[in-house]
Amino acid sequence: MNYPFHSHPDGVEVQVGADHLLALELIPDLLDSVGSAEGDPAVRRLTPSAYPDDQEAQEEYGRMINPELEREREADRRILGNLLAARERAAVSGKKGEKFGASGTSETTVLSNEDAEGLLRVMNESRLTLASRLGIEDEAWETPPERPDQEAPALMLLRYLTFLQETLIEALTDTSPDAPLPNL
Amino acid sequence: MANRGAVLEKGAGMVEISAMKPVAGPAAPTVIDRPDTDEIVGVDHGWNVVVWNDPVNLMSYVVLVFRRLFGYSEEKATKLMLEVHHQGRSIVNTAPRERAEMDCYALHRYGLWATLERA
Repeated sequence: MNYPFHSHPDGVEVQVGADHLLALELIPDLLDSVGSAEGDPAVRRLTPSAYPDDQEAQEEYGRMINPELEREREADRRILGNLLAARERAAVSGKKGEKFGASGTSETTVLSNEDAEGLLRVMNESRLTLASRLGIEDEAWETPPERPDQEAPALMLLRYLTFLQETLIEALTDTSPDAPLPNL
Repeated sequence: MANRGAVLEKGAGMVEISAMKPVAGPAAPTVIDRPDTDEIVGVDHGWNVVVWNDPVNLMSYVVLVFRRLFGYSEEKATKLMLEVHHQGRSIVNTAPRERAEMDCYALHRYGLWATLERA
C-alpha cells in the first residue's frame, strides 16, 4: 500500500495519491455537517463536558473554552483546505505536487510539523464524528469485516482515515523512544 | 493562646463580637454577617485532569498527545495510555484549577475525552 506521509527534515512529506485525496476531500463537508441535524451525537463527542457532575461549572467552562476551541478547529481545517487546494492547483498545472508549508519539491508537498499536527487533529475530528454517528461504543469495529464490499460507506471511510492517521503519526514521531517530539 | 475576644451567637446568620482590647470609649459591638452556606472552604489541593478510554482514538495518537501536551517521556506517556486503555481512565496531570482547565481544553482540542475532578 502506498504510504502518503513520510518524515522529512522540515516536517512531514506528503505524497497523496488519488485514493488518499478521495478520502481527504470528504472531510470538509463531513465536519461542516456537525450539528446540522438535531441530536447529532458528534456534537457531544467533539465538545465533551469538563465538569460532568457540575452544570454551573460546565456552563462557565463552555462559555470560556468553546469559542476558542471552534477557532482552533477552523484553523486546523484551513490546513487541510490549503493542502487540498495545493494538490488541485498542482493537478491543473500538470505538476505532481507543489510547495506547501515549510518546503517542498515539484514531486511532493511538505508540511511543517505544526501544520502536520493540525492535519492530524482534523483527521481525528473526522474519525470521532463518523464513529459517534455510527454508534461505535467498543473496539469491535477494528476487526476487519468478512465482506468489506458490504460495509457501510461511513465505516469504510473511518477505516481509511484511521490508516491515513496512523501513517501521519508514524511520520511525526521518531523511531527512537528517547527522542523528543519535533518542535512546533 | 492569646484571648481573641468573646464570640456570642446572636441568631441565625449573625455573630456578635465584643472586642477585648482596651478602647477609649465604650466598646461598641460589631455585627458581622456569617456566611449562610454549607460549603467547606479549604486549601485547594488542585484538580485532576482525567482522560477516559474511548474506542476510536488510536493508542499511538494518545501517546503522541500526552508527550506533546505534558512533555512526558515516551515511557511515561505509554504507561498512562495503557492505564486509560485497561482501567478506563487515568489521571494525566494534577494542577491548580486554571491550569487544569487549560490542560482539559488542550486534550479536547486533540479529541481526547477529558474531565476535571478535585484532587
